[in-house]
Order: sequence, then C-alpha cells, then structure tokens
Amino acid sequence: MLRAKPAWLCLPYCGVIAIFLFAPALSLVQVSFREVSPTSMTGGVFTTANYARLIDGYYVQILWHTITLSLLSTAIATVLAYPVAYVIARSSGFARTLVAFLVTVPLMTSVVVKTFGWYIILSRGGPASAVASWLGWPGASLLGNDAAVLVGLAEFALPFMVFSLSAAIERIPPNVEEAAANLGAGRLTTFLRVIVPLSRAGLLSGFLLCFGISSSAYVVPAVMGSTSARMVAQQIYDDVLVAFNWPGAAALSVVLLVLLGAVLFTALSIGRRQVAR
Amino acid sequence: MTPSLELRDVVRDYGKGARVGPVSFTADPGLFVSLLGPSGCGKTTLLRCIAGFEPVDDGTLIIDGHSVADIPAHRRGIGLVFQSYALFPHLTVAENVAFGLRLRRVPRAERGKRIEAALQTVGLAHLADRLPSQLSGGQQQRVAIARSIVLEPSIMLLDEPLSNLDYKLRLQMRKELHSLQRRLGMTFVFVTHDQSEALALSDRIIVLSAGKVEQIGTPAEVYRKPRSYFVADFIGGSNLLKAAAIESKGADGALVTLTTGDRFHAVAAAPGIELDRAWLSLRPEDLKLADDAQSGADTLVGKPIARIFSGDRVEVTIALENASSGAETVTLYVSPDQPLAETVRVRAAPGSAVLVGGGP
Repeated sequence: MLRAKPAWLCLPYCGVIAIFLFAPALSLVQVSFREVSPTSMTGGVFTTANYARLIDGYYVQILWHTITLSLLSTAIATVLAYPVAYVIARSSGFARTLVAFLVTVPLMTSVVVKTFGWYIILSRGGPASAVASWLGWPGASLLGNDAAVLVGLAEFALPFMVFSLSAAIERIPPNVEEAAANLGAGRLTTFLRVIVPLSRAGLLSGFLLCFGISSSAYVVPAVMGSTSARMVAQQIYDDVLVAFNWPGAAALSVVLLVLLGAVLFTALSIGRRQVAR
Repeated sequence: MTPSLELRDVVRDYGKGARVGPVSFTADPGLFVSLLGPSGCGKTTLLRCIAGFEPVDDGTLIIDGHSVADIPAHRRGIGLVFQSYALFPHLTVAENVAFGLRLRRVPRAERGKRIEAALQTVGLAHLADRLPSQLSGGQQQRVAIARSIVLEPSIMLLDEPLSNLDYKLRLQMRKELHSLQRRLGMTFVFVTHDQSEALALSDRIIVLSAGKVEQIGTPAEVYRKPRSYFVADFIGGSNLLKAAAIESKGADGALVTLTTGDRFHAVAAAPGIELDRAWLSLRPEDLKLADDAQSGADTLVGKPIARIFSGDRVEVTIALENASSGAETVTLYVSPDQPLAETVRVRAAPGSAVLVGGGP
C-alpha cells in the first residue's frame, strides 16, 4: 500500500464505478430488504423474508448449479486455451497475428448471435445431430441440457482465458523451458512443472474473467439449457419480469454479487500470497 | 579411447546463406574444450546443436560413441549451463537442483544427499531454501552449475557462463570452474568470446570464425603458432605486418621480406600461404629494444609515437620507418623507467615470428 502511486489517478475510473455500479448496487441492497408490495415495484416495509426465501432448496439448488456449471465451463476453457495461448506466446510474425486474430473474432460477435448459432448447430436436424445419428444416436436432442450450456459458456469464455494465459506465458523466458528439457523433462512434464506454475498469474485472471462471465450468463442457459435446471440469472429475470417480485430478485442478485465477490477476493488473496512467496 | 564428443562435418543451415559448418572436432573424456570466436561465429549454435535444441542439417554428432541424431534434447543426458542461467524462478535453490533428480525418480533419501553434495561443491549449501530472485548473479550461476552436475553427466556444456558477471567475480569463477572441472573429471565444452578465458581454462581451444573452424590446438599452440591471420589477430595482442616477399627455408621455415624492406626468419604454421594475403605476426612481448649494432634480420626501426602506462610496464607504439603505407606500427612492452631515443630499433626473439595467411 505504501508503494501505491498517486491515488488521484484512479479518480475518473472510481467516479464512473461509484455512480453507475455502486450506487445502483446499494439501491439493489435497499430494495432486497423491502416487503413485496402489489402497489410498488420497489417494495413496502423492511423485511428479511426475501433472504429467508432463498434458504429454500429450490434457490440453493439454482445457486449450486450456477457455481458448478461456471467452474466446469472455466475448466473446459482452460484446457482448450493453454495450447493456443502457448502457440500465440511462442510464435511471432504473421502466424502469431493470424492465431490471435482467430481467437479474437468470436469477441466481435454478440453473444445472442453466437448462441443462436449454437442453437442451429445443436438442434434436431442440425449438423451436430446429423453426426450423432450417424454415430448411432438417431433423433438425439443435443439442446436443453447442461452439456449444451457448458459448450456455449466455455466458447464464450475461451478468448478471455487465451489472452490471459498467453500474456503470462510470454513472460516466461524460453530458455527456462530449454533448461527443463536439458534436465530430462519431456514436453508434458515441462508444461506441468514449468509453464503452468509460471503462468499462474494469467491462470488466476483468466479464471476470474471466465467464472464471472459464466456465473452471470443469461442468454446461453436461456436458449440452450433445460427448463428445469436453471442458472441464477434466469431466475432473476423471471422474478423481475414474470413474477414482478423485484425485492425477491434483488435479494437473489445480492447473493450472487456477494458470492462472486467472495470468489474474487479469495482468488486474489491466494494470488498475492503466491507472488509474495 | 572413445571421445566424449565428436562432431563430423556438422552443418546447421538456417537458409538464406546463414550457415554454420561444416565443423569437425573431438573432445576426449575429462578435457576442458573451449569454442572460441567473436559473436556471430556460430559457437552458440554448435552448442545448441550438441544439446539438441537445434537440428543438425548435415554431418554426424556423436556423444559417447553413439550418434544422437534421433535423440531429443531431454534424453541426451548432457549438462548445460545457460548464459542467463535459466533457473526456475518458482523453485527454491534446492528444488532447482532437485528438478532433474525427481524426473529420474531418485529415491528421496539419496536425492537429499546428492542435492546437499552438489550445493556443497559450489559453496551454496547455506542458501538451499532461497529463491533465485534472492541471489546475486554469481550465486545464480553456481545454482545453474549445481543443477547440472548433480545429474553427473559425462559432458557439461557452458554457454558464456561468466559473461554476465563483474570483472572480479569473473576471475574468481574462472578459477572455480577450472578446479571444479578437474575435480569432477567431466568433459567441459565451454563457449566464449573471451580469448583470455579460453587460454586460461582450456586443454583444447577450437577457434571459430564465420561458422568454420580456424584452428584447433592447445592454448600454447593457438597462441604461439596461429595458423591464420584471423587467429593471430583474435587471440592476444599481435603486430601484423604485410609480407612483400617470401622465401622458403626448410620444412616450415621462411625468410619474409616486409614492405619496409626488413627481413624476418619466420615459422609458417600452415602450408600453402599465398603471398598477397600473407602477413607476419609478432607478439608484443617477443619484441625487445636493441641497439644499432644488432642491425640485420629480425629487426625493425621506427619512431615511438605513443606510450601507455599500465603499472608494471609501458606499452610503446612505434611507427615504422620506410613503411610503404606510412601507417604501419608495432607495439611492444618496455619497463616504466626505460628511456626511449627518438628513433629506436626493435628485435624479435628468435623463432617468435609467425607467417600467417588469409589476411586482407
């Protein structure tokens, strides 16, 4: 903290965040403690009933489902991202630009468009279901399940993981890898013992980005997921627009925010301990 | 005796005319061999070929009697110390040294003993739990050496290991490397651009220039009997004077006439020297002041034009009389209290002048 640079450099950013994130979030917290009222969207008198409601198995299950899907999609994105990130970090010139471009392209498309793209690919009669029936599962529905949601979430999160990791791998001197090889480490061992531990800062930031993106996802689970196993954002949407239960939705949002905050804080403090080591 | 290392016409071709080789040499077990040359001469490329980080495009690379063409870097079992040390920054000193032992599944108890012994050898046992970032350059250097020698390779490759150290530390590490190599009995292949390092440490020096071997020999041979203009010029300070005429004398002797008209008895270390690229090499320490009574062969006459004091001696530069280009000079060392006349005569010690070819 003592080594912090002039704090006023943070002012413009903090101002924007304070006005457009913290102020609405505070009002969200305020609404979450109001009784549901038929006459006012923002609720009536003070109550904790909106939180008590969440202890119900239904909401716990939704939160749990959201966390597991987010962790799984982050894990899938990590496995897919490492090799690409390595190629980007260790190549140069046109090859590097090309691969980095290919990774960036999906970011230029809206998540809605991409999700419907997946919808077409996975729906009955689409290319993926044609392959499935050729493999012996005729008429298999590839939509409306957790696997489809994972595919969509992982694909959306992938570029963020790739760039977090490639930035970290780039900072590892290539001759450290050669030293590992010289001491007898094959490619895989070098990757596990040298590349992964030395790129953990990128792994951490990639994890935070991917987990944050996945756990707050709405469009992907809404379009590709099942109607029974839902994610938190879908429930919040329904509470707001179908049940008109704003205080309930607010309480659920606050829980999601606290959860994400806790994950962020834990991950960052682990990261700091690692760096201090 | 099977050499530890043998290169037979090894070529590394980068394309577009960038090419190292063909290079051939052998390194016998237990010898300290230096690859010496200016930057860009291909010495590091050859080292990387031996370690397996660069492919060999032509020729044969033989380690302990076996061609290693199909053996990847991680199975060659050669030690390598990088110029930048390349320690694992996330591992402690002891863990760095343990890295190769773990991969070889050395049992825990034995591993501990070997790590301890290796760190003791380089004098770092007390820093086993430090991270590389907490060590000085010289200490990191030692960790890099310990990390390799703990695996007891038959060959150690060292890529300019001393060049990142300050002057005093470099001299100290030079001595330590020398005694370490003698104690361990490993074959050391040492890459350097520093001729004094190579002369001080090596049993055998391989002088490289522009991707080719210029000369292979003991430090004394390379210094006393340079086979080419490049070697005479690159190793040690040398006075190089253009030859105007050569008259053969015996097997490897020659009577050389310089452009100044002075005549020298010289040794030709290499056969087939062409006159228009022939030069006479005279080491400064072989030149002594002489009086005019000693005129005749093996002497030069000129005016002292510069004196550089360096404590125990003075380096004097003499502009030669009768020099055709008017710019030919020689340097020699005299004692600090030596008075110099306006015109002086210098004499070369018998047998010290060497005729070299391949000059400009």
